[in-house]
Amino acid sequence: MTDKLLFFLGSEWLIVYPSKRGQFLEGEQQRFANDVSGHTALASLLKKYPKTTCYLLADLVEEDFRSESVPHVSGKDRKEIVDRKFEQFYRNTPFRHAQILYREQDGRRDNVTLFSALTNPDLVSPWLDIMLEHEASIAGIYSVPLVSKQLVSHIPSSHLLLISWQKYSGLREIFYRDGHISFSRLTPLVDSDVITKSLQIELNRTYKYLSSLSLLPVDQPLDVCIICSKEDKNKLQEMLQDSDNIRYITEDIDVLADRIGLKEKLNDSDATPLLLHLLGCRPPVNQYAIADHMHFHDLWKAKSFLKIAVATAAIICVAWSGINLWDASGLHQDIKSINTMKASIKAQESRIEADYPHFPVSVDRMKAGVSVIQKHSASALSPKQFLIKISRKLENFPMIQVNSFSWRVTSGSGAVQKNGSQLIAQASLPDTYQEILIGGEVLSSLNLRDTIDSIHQFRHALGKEGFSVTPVTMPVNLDSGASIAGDLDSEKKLRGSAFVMKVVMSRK
Amino acid sequence: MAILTLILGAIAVYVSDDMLNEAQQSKTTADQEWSDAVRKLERTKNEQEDLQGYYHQYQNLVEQNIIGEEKRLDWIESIEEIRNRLNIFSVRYKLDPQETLDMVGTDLPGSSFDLRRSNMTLGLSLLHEGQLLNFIEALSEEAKGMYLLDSCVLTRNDLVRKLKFTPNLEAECTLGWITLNEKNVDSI
Repeated sequence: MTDKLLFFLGSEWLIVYPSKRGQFLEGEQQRFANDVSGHTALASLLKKYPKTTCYLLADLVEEDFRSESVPHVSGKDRKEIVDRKFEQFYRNTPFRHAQILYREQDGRRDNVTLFSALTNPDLVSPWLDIMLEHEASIAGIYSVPLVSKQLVSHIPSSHLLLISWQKYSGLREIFYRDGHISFSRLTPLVDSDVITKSLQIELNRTYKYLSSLSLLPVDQPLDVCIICSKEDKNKLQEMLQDSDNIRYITEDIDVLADRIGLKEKLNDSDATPLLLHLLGCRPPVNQYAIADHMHFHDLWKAKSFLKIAVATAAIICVAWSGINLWDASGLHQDIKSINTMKASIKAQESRIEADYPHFPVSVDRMKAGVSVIQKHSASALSPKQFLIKISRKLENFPMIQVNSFSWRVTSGSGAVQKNGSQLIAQASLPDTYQEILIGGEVLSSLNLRDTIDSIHQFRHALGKEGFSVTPVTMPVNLDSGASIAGDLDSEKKLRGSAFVMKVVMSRK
Repeated sequence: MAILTLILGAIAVYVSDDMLNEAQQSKTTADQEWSDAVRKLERTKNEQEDLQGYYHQYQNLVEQNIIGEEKRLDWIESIEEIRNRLNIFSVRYKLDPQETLDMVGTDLPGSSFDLRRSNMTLGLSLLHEGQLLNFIEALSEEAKGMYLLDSCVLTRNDLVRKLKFTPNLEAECTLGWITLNEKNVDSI
């Protein structure tokens, strides 16, 4: 299926090269004369290839080029300037083109712009009308001089004259100065041997014209590149000799075809296939078509863009949905595993519960009963440790004789013995403590002072053990507020050596 | 066609998003349920171990006559046996009527139990104070029951001090035998 229709427009003929994937379809080329039969044939072709993108390459004598300096502006301002120039230079044709060649280095640094136009629209319009009538997708209208630069871009020359021959238009001469198109001329010669016969004459004319415009290089020869077949190349090499003024470069058309990727075998020096192939493979920006001409192509591009956008969106949606479903599937697998594990745990739990021993009383009762007894058991106190510690201290005080011990468990600061009922209820309280009332006497003391000193030493010794010791009764009350009475002549025992002291051991 | 494709795509995304959200919520719920199940299993295991422990302790208390009706005869027999073994001159005892204790105002648990106490006064004629300590220790270890010692008064017996094989000390101790009685008995 053809994907491109490459049209070559000469003044007499319109040639079409259907193309597919960058190569011409063999035997499909057609030629349409600019008359009713040609127009009908073109209409038939367009019906045969509907919606195929069309490229129109014009090679007409009536094409004009002129370079102008325009202010370096952009956007709307540039458009206005360019439109004004178009109106000034090419008022009568819609096929107009402007391209910036370079920017001047001096002065206002204007843009040097190449203005060109197909000055006889009547040669193009009939064909375009038929195409538009059949809703052909016209990608652009191009010009041979503007497209040809790609064929000689590999030749490093500041002044180059390119000569090519197109079978259905003629001999095209294009002069490039510093890589920019400066002048172009078409000589309508259609004979196949035109290159060898007429080239010398046309070249001389062109040389004189360039010389008159002072466009030729001053101290170097003009490079003339001729695109021709191998056969013609040999003839030309015999005929044309390099001189001080001209240096010839003959490019084999087959070599050029290879270079640009055209596989079709070329029989003669006709450069039309080369140019159309270039146009089809690497189409430049539209040159002469206006928006109305490209309406269907723009529509096609918009549709294509929309299709691509929709396809992209659909792919994204499908991918997104796929990822979501994949994730959801993964999660469901996880949930399944978790549920299996959960069932296993529940079964384990059920087994444990089934294996519960049957107790004679309720669990709560058991806990409560054990807890109550544990608390009371923890509060049980024994005088053993208390008495052992006091006994050890007493070993250091042989003069003290203990006559009575009164041990008890109490709580709070009250020294009053509480009954058992109160104690059991308070047994769990943290301020429960043990106390001992020690009743004793000091033996072998010589005097009252020794007696009191011994009691105090015993008291301090107990205090160092961590006990709280309080004297309850002393042999003599030395308090300043109390009255003392005694008989110094009486027996020592009668003078008094008995004491009572309270020793308290905290629960800790 | 394009609009239909876009609509179908949007529906596919919406539905799959919905399915994913639903799956995520289900996964969160399943994770939570699994965590709960694991915790519950651990709790059940611990409870089982606790119950075994409590049951053994409870049984021990029952065997020790601490839970249940008080066994006064057991206590008296224990006292007599200890007295004979420790060669205590004489032991006198007085056991008061059992009373129920009020546990209101304490942090003690056991509203299903009555905590009861029987106060006992023990009078002992001793050769030395070590006999008293040994008696108290032996009573704790050997007697079936739990008691709380409240007080002990140890007095030197001046009159017989010089005589051999006569009690040098007189001791009087007060203590309370504790028992726990269930208010109602039922079984699981």
